[in-house]
Amino acid sequence: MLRYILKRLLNALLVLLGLSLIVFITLRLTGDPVAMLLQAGSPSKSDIAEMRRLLDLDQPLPIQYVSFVGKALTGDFGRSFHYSTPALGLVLERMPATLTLTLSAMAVALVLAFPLGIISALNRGKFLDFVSQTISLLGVSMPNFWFGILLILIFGVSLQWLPVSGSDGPEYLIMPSIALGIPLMAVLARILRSSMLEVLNADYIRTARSKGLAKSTVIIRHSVRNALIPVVTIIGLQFGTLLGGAVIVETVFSWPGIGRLAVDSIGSRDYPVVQASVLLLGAILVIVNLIIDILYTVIDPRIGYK
Amino acid sequence: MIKTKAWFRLTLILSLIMGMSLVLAACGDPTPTTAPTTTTTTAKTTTAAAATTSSATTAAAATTAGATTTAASATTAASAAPSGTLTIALAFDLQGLDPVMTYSLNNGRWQQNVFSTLIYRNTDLKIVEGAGLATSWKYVDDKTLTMQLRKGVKFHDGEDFNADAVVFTFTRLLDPANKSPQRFNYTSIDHVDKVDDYNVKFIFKDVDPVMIVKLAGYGAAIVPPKFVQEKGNDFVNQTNIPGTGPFKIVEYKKDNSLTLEAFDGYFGDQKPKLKKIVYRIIPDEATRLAEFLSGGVDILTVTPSQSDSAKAAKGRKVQVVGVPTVSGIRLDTSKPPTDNLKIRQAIAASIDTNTIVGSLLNGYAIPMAIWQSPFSFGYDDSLKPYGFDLNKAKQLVADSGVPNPKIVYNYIAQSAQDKEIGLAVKSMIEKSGIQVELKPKEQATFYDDYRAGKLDNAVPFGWGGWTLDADNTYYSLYYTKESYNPAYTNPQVDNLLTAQRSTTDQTKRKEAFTQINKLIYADYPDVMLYQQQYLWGITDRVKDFTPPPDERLWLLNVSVTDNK
Repeated sequence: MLRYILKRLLNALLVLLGLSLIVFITLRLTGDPVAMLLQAGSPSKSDIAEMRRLLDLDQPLPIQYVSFVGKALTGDFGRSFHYSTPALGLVLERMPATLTLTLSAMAVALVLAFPLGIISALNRGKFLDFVSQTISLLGVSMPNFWFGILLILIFGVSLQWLPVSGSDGPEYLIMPSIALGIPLMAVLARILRSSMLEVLNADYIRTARSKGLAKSTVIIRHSVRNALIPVVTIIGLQFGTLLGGAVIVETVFSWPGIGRLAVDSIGSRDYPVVQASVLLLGAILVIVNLIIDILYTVIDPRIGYK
Repeated sequence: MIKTKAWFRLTLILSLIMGMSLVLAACGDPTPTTAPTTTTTTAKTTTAAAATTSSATTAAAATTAGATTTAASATTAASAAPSGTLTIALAFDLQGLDPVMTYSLNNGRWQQNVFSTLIYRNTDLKIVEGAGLATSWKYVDDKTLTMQLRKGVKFHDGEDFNADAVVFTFTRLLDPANKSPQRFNYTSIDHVDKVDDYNVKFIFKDVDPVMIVKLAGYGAAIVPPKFVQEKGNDFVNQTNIPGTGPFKIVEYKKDNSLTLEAFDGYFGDQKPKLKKIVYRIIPDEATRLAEFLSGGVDILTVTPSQSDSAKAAKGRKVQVVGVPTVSGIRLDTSKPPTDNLKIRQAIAASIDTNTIVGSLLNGYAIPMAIWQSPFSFGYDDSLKPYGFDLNKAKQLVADSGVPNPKIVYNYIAQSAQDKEIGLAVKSMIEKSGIQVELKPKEQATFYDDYRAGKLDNAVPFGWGGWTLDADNTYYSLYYTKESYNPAYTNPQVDNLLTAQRSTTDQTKRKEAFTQINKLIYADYPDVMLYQQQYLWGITDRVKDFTPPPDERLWLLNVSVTDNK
């Protein structure tokens, strides 16, 4: 198992290296960051050239890339052009906020998806099944920025039950988690339903029922656990989508996370911050998928790694 | 008993109805989608300053002060203790507290309440002599400026304001090692000499007729030498920095808020009335409006499409104010067929600017004849906007000698408003016989491509010129091959622009601009010009707040009725 983990980590490093090249090249195709910085005035061409030199942007691209990778390996992602503080520090500062939001959204999704998926599977073909399938359809069809604004209008403006935006307390987390979690809930509920239906038809379930086991034992101990593998796979894959959705939800709810920082930095072409954000998010994704893979061995003892 | 299939169909129908009503509810609500705010994408507005006085030798022509000056006026200071909290929305994060690292228009909303500058410009955009940290100034010659400094002023941390602070501020601003985005506005300054504790001398490398105005700008905010040297640049930019303004910084939470508190040692006669000011950073414009409607925010700017919701809400109002930003369409005078004067004239005559303003901008804009707003030095109201005359346009096309003329019109793909205007303009121009192809371009590369001359015949553009002096705009937009001018060239204009830059005599400069305006007007390099107007949403609990034309909020006189 340890060898497996080490192999995966090495793999992860290669993935991140490839990611660094992609983000490096793409950023430099988007335009000149110096012009953004010098918009407060009427800079002459020589002013612009000098600023480029001060920011080390006048070097040939391969040299800039090698320098960037070399420094990144020591944890130095350069200084933000706009905040003039170390880029990695900025990103790490925002990480707790994004992780809080993402994990809360995940919790919302799981808490709602499990009953929905299980009820749906157990009542296949009946009214409850169709209600929950419809809820899933709605959840997956709604764009999360639209849903977020709708929640704000209803609970923030009309009813004034919840604060509209910001991050000054736990009540501020409620609406953003729901806005981000509902689409994931919809996907998970549907996967769980299909997976459960497959399991419920298996021989060992028939055996368990014929043994006279209580219905709840059959469902929880035997069916759900076996139905979990595809669901856990989807959670791992969807985590990336969740992080992406966090970008939009963070903007709508003024939640101070990495997503918002990344979007603002792309708009203002703050190269160091974009690079640091993308690589850190990439690293998180890689680690989450590794955890998921290890989780399989817990859920299903038949699965093992060499 | 109803069969399963029937239940299914019933549920499906009910869900569809529910879904549609949700969609309709969302569409009916005038909150727009998360489109980028227009303040910095289309408009190249920058930090603002004032109109220059008519004479550059002494600031003798001090104009009338607005109600908010802190000048040596006879009004006695309010003796009541400051009370109440005012909340203002910001669309973008500050990105830093240090004035020399400022580069965005956003910062005007808070900076001058914390920092003071040598020269003070009031909300009428007029320089008020003696109201800033300099009590008087004089140009000894075109390249030497002496200033007398105000006595008895303290920074928020207790340090004294004096000549050392001024010398330190400008040395730091001009030091390339600090990589200040503001530096380039002040490079005409060679250095500042301390004459004595309350007198300084600016020595210039080049003649800079706009320097008095620039000294009222953000980069020139005076900072405390001891504090900055002790704490270092990073602390000062990200955590706290004292100024000499009526409010001091309490806390800055990135991407969240900036909190200011009244400073009881403020040097002005008028003391602050508010106890606390909170700037909340809310990037999404729909969310900002929601906060305004639910009481989370007292003051914000709203888009034309949000104005109706904001106005209709109880206890709230919307005020309109013209801003220095002028927008329009730039025509490329080097690419056919817009290299033909008659084609350009035809385009100008075929566009009904009044209709565009009325229907697409909700009436919140004023048609212009030149690329300057009435606030600017160099503005000429004798020139009228190009008139709408379709028959004249058709005739011009026929006379141009260009068979089957066709132009390509670029706009920023992400801007819904730009697209709407593009479609309207296309249908108008085509009536004159010129074919128009609309080609949207990516926002991130739009301005870079424009500057490199890679865009096509017609490009929508906006420019504010924070100095409110035509020099800033005109040099960049009309001088041959300058930063925002890939195509237009007129040697006479070039000579006049150079001439007006090299003198501090405002009368000569005004004459030069009068001629420049006439030459450019006759060349038709730009059409469909209009001055933008900003809409400010204000809750009724706010008293004595005047929306500024340049987005610089001056909150000394402002109070709230409920003292909460």
